[in-house]
Amino acid sequence: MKLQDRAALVIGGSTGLGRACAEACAAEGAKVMIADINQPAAEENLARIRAAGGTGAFVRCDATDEEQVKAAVAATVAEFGKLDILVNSAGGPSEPDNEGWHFCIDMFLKAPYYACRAALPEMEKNGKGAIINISSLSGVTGSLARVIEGTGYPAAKHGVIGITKTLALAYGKKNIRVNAICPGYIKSELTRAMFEAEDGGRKLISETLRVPLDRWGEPEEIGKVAAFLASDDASFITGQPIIVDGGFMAR
Amino acid sequence: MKLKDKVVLVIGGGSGLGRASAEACAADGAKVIVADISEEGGNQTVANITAAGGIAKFVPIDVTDEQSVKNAVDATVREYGKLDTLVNSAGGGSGSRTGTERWLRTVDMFLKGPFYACLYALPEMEKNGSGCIINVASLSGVTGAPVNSIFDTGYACAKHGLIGLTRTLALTYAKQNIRVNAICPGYMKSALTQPMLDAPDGGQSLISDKLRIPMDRWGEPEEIGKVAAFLASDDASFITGQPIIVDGGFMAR
Repeated sequence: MKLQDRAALVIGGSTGLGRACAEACAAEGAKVMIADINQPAAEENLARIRAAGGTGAFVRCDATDEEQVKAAVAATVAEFGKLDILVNSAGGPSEPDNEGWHFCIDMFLKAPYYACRAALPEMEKNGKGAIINISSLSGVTGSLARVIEGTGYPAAKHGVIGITKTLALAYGKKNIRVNAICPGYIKSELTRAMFEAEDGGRKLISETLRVPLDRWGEPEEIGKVAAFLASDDASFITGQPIIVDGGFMAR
Repeated sequence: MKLKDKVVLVIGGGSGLGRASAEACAADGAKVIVADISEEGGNQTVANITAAGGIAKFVPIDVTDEQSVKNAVDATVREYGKLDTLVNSAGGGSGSRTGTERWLRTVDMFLKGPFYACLYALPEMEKNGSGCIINVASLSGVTGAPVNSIFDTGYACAKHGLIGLTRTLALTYAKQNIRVNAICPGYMKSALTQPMLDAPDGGQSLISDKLRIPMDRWGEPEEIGKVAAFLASDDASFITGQPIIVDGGFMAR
């Protein structure tokens, strides 16, 4: 129970990687606020968390709306008394067109900015904190986009690493650690079309990408890393992008 | 108890970061072989572990001696029936050696030692159907720092080399369900850094003024040990081929 009595806000905690982060933190004893636009999925997640003996709550939140993000932070503090942990895991699909480019910046860069901006004062009051930004391999290397309009995702995911490292430097002395996770090819809402293809996405993994572990990652394999980074076991890790990708980047 | 029923061989478990790794793995339920050149240090680690309710045994080892390393791996399998996890954490000074001898000695200890350990551990892990190797490297494995002379570059050479070994073995053994990662500690309290800690200010001005470590303090050995235990566990099941930097934020600059 490495997160006993900690209060965690998981933005995007209804589905996919965010759901796994919320579950993993709750399993380690944290009280978890799920902030998301998808309430039914959040309620399902909370039911599972509670059935396993955990504590959680839901606040409706569009991560691209700064006022709603501020309200989600305030709701967490109102519900649990404080804020120890912030996980930025909100996401959504887009097309590789001009509108999609700007959407990616809103969803994957501005959203984490709004959340960190609202959360940091609460963590300073708290005397400590841990922020975990879900980035991507596209945050540390090039993506598979073929046109400039498709570069919104790598631009934003690289950008959130810049926020991560800079905040780690700025808040190191205040006992607030800031890290990122760079997931590789993991089964999530964003990758559903790929792993639900006729071959289960095997050709992509084995032949195109040649992922060393030769399989898709499971969301739990991100969730548990988030719980680790949130815990005191990671007390000397800050400013780091932790790559969780079945060995893809080892090449 | 995320390492229940796992057998962990910690080479260099008699002090510093190796001791912390052995203790953290034992605390998570692993059966640990503490291998070290120092019988006193190794036995102390075993005593610490058993006092806390864990299981451990000491085995002597000289990492610069290939047969000695093979013997330690064999002793692990004889004692506990298998080998799940190898932690390479042996280290030491180059004594009074000078010149090229000093460089070569450093490379023997910090690169060849882990090579020998992986060489003998990997077949056991293949037999086992899975495995995990954790190489304790250094910031000097991923970045540079000035030294007094070329003969002092052995550490950076060996630690960078260890990362190369880590990544290559990760790629080669991934399909056999063997994960291989490294930890790159920053400025941690250990035997290796004791001279710096012995400064009148406890080494604080090095941390605060010269290095400007963001977290503004030395790291504790436990802060490496617990990362080793994490990497050894299934919580890290999709992490392989990675150097995990544990440095209080130094490399974020």
